[in-house]
Amino acid sequence: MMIQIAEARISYGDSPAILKDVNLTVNKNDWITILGVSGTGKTSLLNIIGGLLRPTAGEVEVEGRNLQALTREEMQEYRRNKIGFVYQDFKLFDQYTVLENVMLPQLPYDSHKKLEKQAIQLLEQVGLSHRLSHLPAELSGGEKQRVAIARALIGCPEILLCDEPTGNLDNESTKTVMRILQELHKGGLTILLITHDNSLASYGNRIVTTGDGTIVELDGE
Amino acid sequence: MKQLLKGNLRYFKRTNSLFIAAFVLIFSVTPIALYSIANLSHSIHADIVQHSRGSYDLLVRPPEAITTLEEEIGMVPENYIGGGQGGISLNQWKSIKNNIHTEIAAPIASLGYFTGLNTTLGVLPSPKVPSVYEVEYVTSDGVNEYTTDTYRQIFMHSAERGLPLVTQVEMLSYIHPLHALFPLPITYNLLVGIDPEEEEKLTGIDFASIQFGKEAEGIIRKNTAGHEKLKDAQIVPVLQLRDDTISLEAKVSSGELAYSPQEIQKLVEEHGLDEQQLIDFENPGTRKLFERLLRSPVTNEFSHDLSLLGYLQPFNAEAKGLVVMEDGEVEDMDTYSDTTSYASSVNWNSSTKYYKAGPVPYKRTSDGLQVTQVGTEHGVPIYRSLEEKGTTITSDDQTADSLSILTDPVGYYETGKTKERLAASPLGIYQLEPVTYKETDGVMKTLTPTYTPGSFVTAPAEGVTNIESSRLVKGDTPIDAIRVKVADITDYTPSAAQKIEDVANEIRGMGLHVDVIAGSSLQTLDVDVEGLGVVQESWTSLGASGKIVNQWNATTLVLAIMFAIVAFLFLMNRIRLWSGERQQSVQLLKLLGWTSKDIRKLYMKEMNRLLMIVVAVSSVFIITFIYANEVSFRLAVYQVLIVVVLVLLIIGFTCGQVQRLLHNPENTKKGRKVTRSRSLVVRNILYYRKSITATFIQLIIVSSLASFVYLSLNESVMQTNATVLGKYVNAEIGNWNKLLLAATYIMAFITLLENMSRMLQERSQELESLKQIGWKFKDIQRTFLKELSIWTGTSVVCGSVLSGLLFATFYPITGTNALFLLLTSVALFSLIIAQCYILVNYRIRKIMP
Ligand SMILES: Nc1ncnc2c1ncn2[C@@H]1O[C@H](COP(=O)(O)OP(=O)(O)OP(=O)(O)O)[C@@H](O)[C@H]1O
Ligand SMILES: [Mg+2]
Repeated sequence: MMIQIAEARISYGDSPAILKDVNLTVNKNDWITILGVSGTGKTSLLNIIGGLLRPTAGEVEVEGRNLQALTREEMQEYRRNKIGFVYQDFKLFDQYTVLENVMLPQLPYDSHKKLEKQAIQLLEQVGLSHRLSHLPAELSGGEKQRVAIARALIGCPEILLCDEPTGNLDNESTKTVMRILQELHKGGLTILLITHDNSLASYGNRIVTTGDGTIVELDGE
Repeated sequence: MKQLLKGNLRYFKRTNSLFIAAFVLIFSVTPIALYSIANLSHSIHADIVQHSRGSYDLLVRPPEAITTLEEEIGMVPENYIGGGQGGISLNQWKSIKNNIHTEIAAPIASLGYFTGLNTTLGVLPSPKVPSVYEVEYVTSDGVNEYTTDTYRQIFMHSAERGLPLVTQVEMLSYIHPLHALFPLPITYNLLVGIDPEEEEKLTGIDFASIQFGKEAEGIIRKNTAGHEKLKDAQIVPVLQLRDDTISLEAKVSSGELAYSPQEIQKLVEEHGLDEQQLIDFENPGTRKLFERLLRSPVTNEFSHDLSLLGYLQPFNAEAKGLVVMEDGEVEDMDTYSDTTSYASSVNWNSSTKYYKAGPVPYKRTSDGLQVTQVGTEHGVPIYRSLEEKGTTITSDDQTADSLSILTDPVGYYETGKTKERLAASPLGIYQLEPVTYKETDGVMKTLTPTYTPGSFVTAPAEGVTNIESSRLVKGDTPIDAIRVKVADITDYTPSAAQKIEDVANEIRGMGLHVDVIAGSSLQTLDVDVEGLGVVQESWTSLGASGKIVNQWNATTLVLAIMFAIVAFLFLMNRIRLWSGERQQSVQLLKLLGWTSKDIRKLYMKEMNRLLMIVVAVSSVFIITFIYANEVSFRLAVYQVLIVVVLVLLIIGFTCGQVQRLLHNPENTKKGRKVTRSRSLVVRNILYYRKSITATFIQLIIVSSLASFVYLSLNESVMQTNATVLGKYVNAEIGNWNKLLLAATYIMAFITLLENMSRMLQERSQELESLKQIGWKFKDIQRTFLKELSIWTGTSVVCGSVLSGLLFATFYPITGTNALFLLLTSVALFSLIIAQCYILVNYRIRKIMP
């Protein structure tokens, strides 16, 4: 049991809850595809797992640790070392090279040499070893997303949170990205992936949908 | 980390260069500003120390002599001996003189207006045929001319036969059968008692010849022998003023009557007059004939306008007359009378009479000072009351005092030329400062004293005698004022000022009034004199140097505060922009799990790197500035100081900004409200309220300071320019304050420019959308400019109102000030609109080339 969400309730400010009675258990090496109409709280759900959002009620436990109990420093450490993020809009630093972008998350916390080696390795893994000193502006969308994935992996996370990683990509790039994720999943990574593309659900082993203010897990295949 | 730093520096190359440029500006300008402020006060201080001590420090007068006006306006008129009633005894003077803290104690006692012998003016050529002679005496106060006396005589026969015809009693003593002879006017001159030794120490003029007890050559006794009323009079030695300024002119004219002696004889008979009646000047028939002849045509006329200045001795003791030669030259009668029977006549009549003049009755009005005419004397307006003392020798009045002194001229003294003096030390008796009058055509005229006593301009002391002699006339307390110089002081430093004040208090303890003249300066006052118009008179403004220092201290403070405010805004704004550019990166790093500490470290490192470049560049700039302008190396010291302060300040700000980004990320969209106003422009303004606010406030501050500081600077210069010392100080200050002002304006302008530019950049998305939906260039431009001009205009108006209020609390509001305020606001607004126009166009061109 990797992640345990119990009776969580998510709301912004005083407005009514976006999600109520959220119960979800994520096991190690699960690949959960999250589907749902826009605005139903998919991103919010990922954010409470990523520690970017605190549920207004209920519990979120990751590896037995209650996220609410973490201090700010501990939370940052958790995010850095346990979680990898991949976004639809890549969120790369325009001012840094591909290599720097990948090293960036761990840069203050590990030796430069080791990180560089690791980053080059990761970039090789996503097929971008020839783009090390390029700036993001010089990359295609698919390449950017692969850099983002490499970056998400630099801290050797156990969980990868992907918020519509292929939303901005064409078919070809989508396939490349999904294949990389598949590789990673095979390597033991737990993946939660939001998508609007129902066909991508086949990559995962479980499906969760949002709607009507709560989440529902679809049974079987 | 190093790599990231490089990435940051590389990526933000354009904005970082701007940042460096802006910070180099502030790192260079602030030390220069500090230097100029220090220079400003240093220069003022040095000027005051060097130049605000005149020839003496304290003016001691009896309390009765101080007018309420003087006390009210804190000024002393040049002629402060005023009424000359005395009030200080010789013993009091001596005890001040003997005080060990006294270097000089020079007393003055005004004795009054005296005259000497009265002699004659002869006119050549002498008559050969029946002729008319006329002499008119004219005096001027510099503005108007006054005819004081007109004397006429008519020779009816050829020269050898009979006395001339006259109708004036004064003429009776002067008629001569062969020559035309007239009385010279009686000039009354101020006689002042001084102490020769002390006065010499004060003025450098040698007065030794009037030492008490010195007898003159005795001419006076010889010439007055036999006069009963002068028998007991003591002779006092008098030094006469050489460069006298008193106005006296003679208009001499003559013409030959177109009658033969026979025809005149016929006229005499026609008037039924005999020889005896002709001599009777009061006979009506004689007068009628006189008038008749005066109206008759004349031939061979001549006339001379002569200035008698320099020919008349103020205290004449010799029986010397003057004669007007045929060519109009004036000569001593002596040299002429050797060869002819022509002789001058002497008259002691008036020399036993003298006048005391009261002070000029200055009144204070809303426009300045006013003086009304008291009366006339010999047809000349007088501005001070005259008190006649003594009596004429011929008078039968037995009750009048007999004259106690006889003035015996022993030589001349000179006061030298008027020169611009920074410190005022009105000597009271030399009248060095001219009183001027501006004609309607702008010509400046110098007012002159008339030869009659009581004119507005005080005659200088035409004669000085020793102070002991003044007792003979004025009794036991003859001294009107003592001018004291305090010992052992070289410069007018604060400790010197304190010592002067101590001595002043000591003298005040004797029951005397003391004005501290050290640190005062001359100031020109407008005086509205009845019958003359508005004239400019120099008064001594007490405590002028203190006022100058205070005024400049206040202004410097205002300048410094303004500079500090603007520099602070500039700095804050720069850092705000800098951190704004890094907002997204900070958020991302946080998302990636960096701790706040590490994020902060990254940005502080970047800031440090930038600051290093800034410090290096600005140091080079300052060093170059020092060499290029030959400025003191003190500037470099200031820079080091400023660098330390600014770096600490900037690091503090930056820390705060990064912290703010970390913990409550700026959400520009937050708080934006859509209002239901109909106007698109107003809706925009309200929607972008938040990003406008900072610039709006800044604009208010800048526009209120822009006019206020300039106005107050101007006002200070004007107020301190009133005195001579202030004028000098202002000239010495030169352009330091302007430099400061310019630097401030530049910083304020850059701040606004950057803010505006950033605001428009923020809205480039909106511009893009407007373009996409098909708006024309002109329409986008118009909408944006309209919006910008509405709120910038509002803030400029607010700022100007604030400026006006601020100014009005410290200074008087005048028409020119108000106009200036209005013009600065208009100018500032125009500048801002121009700036907006350029920025808006630049932005639109970027998306619509
Ligand atoms: N910071 C926020 N403050 C207030 N409301 C928010 C905030 N973020 C999200 N919401 C609201 O919460 C609801 C859920 O948002 P969320 O981003 O989780 O939806 P989503 O399912 O991810 O949608 P999409 O598929 O469009 O990404 C939405 O209605 C949104 O308006
Ligand atoms: Mg979403």
